[in-house]
Amino acid sequence: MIRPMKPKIFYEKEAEKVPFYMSLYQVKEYNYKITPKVVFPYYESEESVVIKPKKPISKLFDYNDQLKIF
Amino acid sequence: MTNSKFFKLFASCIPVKGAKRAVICDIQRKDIYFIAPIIYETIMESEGKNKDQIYQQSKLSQENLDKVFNFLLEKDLGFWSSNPENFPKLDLTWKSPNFITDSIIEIDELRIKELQSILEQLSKLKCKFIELRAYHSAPLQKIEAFLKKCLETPVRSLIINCQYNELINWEEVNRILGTYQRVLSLIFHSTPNGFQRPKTLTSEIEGKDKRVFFINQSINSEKCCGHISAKYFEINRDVFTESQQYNTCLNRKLSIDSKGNIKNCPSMQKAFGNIKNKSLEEVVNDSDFQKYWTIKKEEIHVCKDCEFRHVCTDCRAYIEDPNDLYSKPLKCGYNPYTAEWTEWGNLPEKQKAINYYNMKDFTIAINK
Repeated sequence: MIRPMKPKIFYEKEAEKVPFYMSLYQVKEYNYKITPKVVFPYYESEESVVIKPKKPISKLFDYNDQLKIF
Repeated sequence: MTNSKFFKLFASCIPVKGAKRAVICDIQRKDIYFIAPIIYETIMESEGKNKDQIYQQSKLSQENLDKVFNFLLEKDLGFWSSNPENFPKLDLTWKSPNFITDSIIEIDELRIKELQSILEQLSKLKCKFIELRAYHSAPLQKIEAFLKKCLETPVRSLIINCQYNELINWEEVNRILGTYQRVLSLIFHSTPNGFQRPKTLTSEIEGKDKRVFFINQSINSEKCCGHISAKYFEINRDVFTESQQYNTCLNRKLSIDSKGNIKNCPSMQKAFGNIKNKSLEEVVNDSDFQKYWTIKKEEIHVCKDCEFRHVCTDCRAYIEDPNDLYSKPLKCGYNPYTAEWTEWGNLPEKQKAINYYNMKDFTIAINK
């Protein structure tokens, strides 16, 4: 069975509704919104011809509410 | 009439069980799906059984089983097949031809000649990715000399962090980025309040892929590193397979701090020599240097019970118990036993380590 790629789904939209499979078995809460937004696109974008790392080389940025990226 | 079809998850959709919940990591489409433990158990129990057997033997009602399998089909995570033997599991072996895959170099105090020598040695080790860090300056001339030398090496791309200052010549930045396409991101940290992007950063340079970033956070020391956040999760085959046997932060990483000390990572306390008296190759072949490479998530306390263990890239430099190499990353605020995230700097169990690493001021700044 061939499984093609498909456009990336943005998780924020999905997280708005609590899916049945979480509530049904009383998993405490669906409190966690995974939001892999493209912030520094060096390992997200696939358009560039430059080969990019598959993971962050370091984790310097503290993605809290105060972090502003221009 | 019997139903002899078997349910198979696609080989790239791999369930991972945590203490409180489980996930299915879709390492082909780079997605992650949360599932309740009962769903995980149902998937596991379904292996090698046909549909009739699954429905007869499961603890779940037929209605709930329908919901489970409809969910998996709807999300395109699996399928029913009469020939399950044709769909083997993915080989999760991780291999790399590079002796060193990525390197971090603190460039503030290193001279151009020293940087060029480091690059020559990294080149021999087939290093693919480099991060340059300048905590207190934006040494464009030094950076350009390094980038020029990179053209003759196997280095595929670079990320550069510099401190912002008002004297930076943006025309010069444009020219450097235009000339050296291997620069993926040039990040200026410590921007002042009310900062706006310089208009002289031309759109031709940035194009579709923005390459220059400005952030207000001050990256003024190696202590800024080690944050564990969902923003750093990477759902792909490389990280997933590497995490099975290796440490996803330190495996095949080599760093040089601003004094020329050779380390696994600039934030690690232990140095294995200095570039002035030891070659990088010597250090890489040292078994003591390599001992961090194989600390996998299954061996780390708490992380071994976390559903994100194969998409998270860990930190061994700052850990909850500095005397225990296998303790949880200090800057992780996720609790897999409750499936909740909290601000790590406020947690009582972290305070001892925060004092040990002298990070008190650092966490106060974060919480402001």
